[in-house]
Amino acid sequence: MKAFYRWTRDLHLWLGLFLSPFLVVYAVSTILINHNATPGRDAPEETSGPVLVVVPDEEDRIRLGRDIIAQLGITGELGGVRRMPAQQKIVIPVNVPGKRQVVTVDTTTSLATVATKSPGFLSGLVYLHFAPGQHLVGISGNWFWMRLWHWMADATVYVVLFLTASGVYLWTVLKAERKVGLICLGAGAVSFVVLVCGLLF
Amino acid sequence: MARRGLTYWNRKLHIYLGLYFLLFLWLFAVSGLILNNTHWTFVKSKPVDVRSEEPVTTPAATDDFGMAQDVMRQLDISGEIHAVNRPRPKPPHDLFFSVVRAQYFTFVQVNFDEGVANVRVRKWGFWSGFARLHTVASMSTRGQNMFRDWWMTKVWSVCVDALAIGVLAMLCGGIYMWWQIKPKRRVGIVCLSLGCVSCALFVIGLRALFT
Repeated sequence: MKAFYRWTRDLHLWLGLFLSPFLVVYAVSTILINHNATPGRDAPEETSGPVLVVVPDEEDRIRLGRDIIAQLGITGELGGVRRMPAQQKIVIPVNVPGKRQVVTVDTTTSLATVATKSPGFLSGLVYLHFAPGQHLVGISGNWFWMRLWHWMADATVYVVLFLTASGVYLWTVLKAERKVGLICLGAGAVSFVVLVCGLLF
Repeated sequence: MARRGLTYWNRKLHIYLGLYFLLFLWLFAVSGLILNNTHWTFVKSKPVDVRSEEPVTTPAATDDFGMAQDVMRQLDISGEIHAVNRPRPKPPHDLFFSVVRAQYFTFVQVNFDEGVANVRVRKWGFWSGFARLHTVASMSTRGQNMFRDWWMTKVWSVCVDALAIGVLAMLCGGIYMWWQIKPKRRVGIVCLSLGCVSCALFVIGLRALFT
């Protein structure tokens, strides 16, 4: 039992330390999102091009986007690639945390222009918070690094669940903290239930 | 003495904050997991629409938002007004608005001349509603001229801030407690450094590497 306690305590410590920078990312971005802050919104946009590209005969929008941005030497996570036949253009948003590029290809001339905006560090935190998220299902994670982030985001959840469960176990061992701990747990549970029921039903 | 006092209170704060926020942390952790994995079968659910026609009287308010609030009171609908007259109501309707709660949306179209409101309640499955608790505080403010107008989402957004600040406090407190245990410093530094390097790779590294 003592060995189990020691292992749990050590894992709580090591995993907590490893995860702490990720939790800082989520906590800070949560505050930004909660207050509808859009850091770097007014960052200047630079446009480059036009550059001649070969528009491949490709139905799959991700492959189409990948092919075109590779010709332009751009890399990143593709957003929703849009074919706009009426306007005779293809729009390809490309994101790297803290940087956004939009490639617009004129399908009549095969000329591509690139609009680049670098809203910066805090914007990158917000972007990472939303990734992968509930939108762009089947599209998100099309860049290796963002796929890796997706795994990290899921792993963060599993580790948080372990940290909280192990934290509860470590608390139960501390007899002196039981009374106040129970009050805190109870107060948290009551406020949680009231709020969640109010929002749900 | 002062240092011992800090150690003592910091440890208590770490435990108490963790226990108070336990369920909130579980909610945001699990709902975050669901939002990241919307392809999971148990998460997918078809919404169920329930339609009805209700009598309404013309509100005294003249602005769109005030009229929507008045109609909500008449129809006994509560929740966050998500959009008023977006899209514009189709004739013969004079007012359109949607009201958001975590598990269901209510869409209301009103024809004041006939004194009738067409109400459509779209109810989602449990897990969709549960996952929406993750986003409900921010979804009401994403967009122009949008603000939180329901007291529940206002309180919830305060809780979200408190949780984020509480997590930061627990992290700082946890790091301080670890530093007090000298035999654990070496391995701790390795873990913290690994975390910092891997996190920095995404936060600043990718932008630097792929510019």
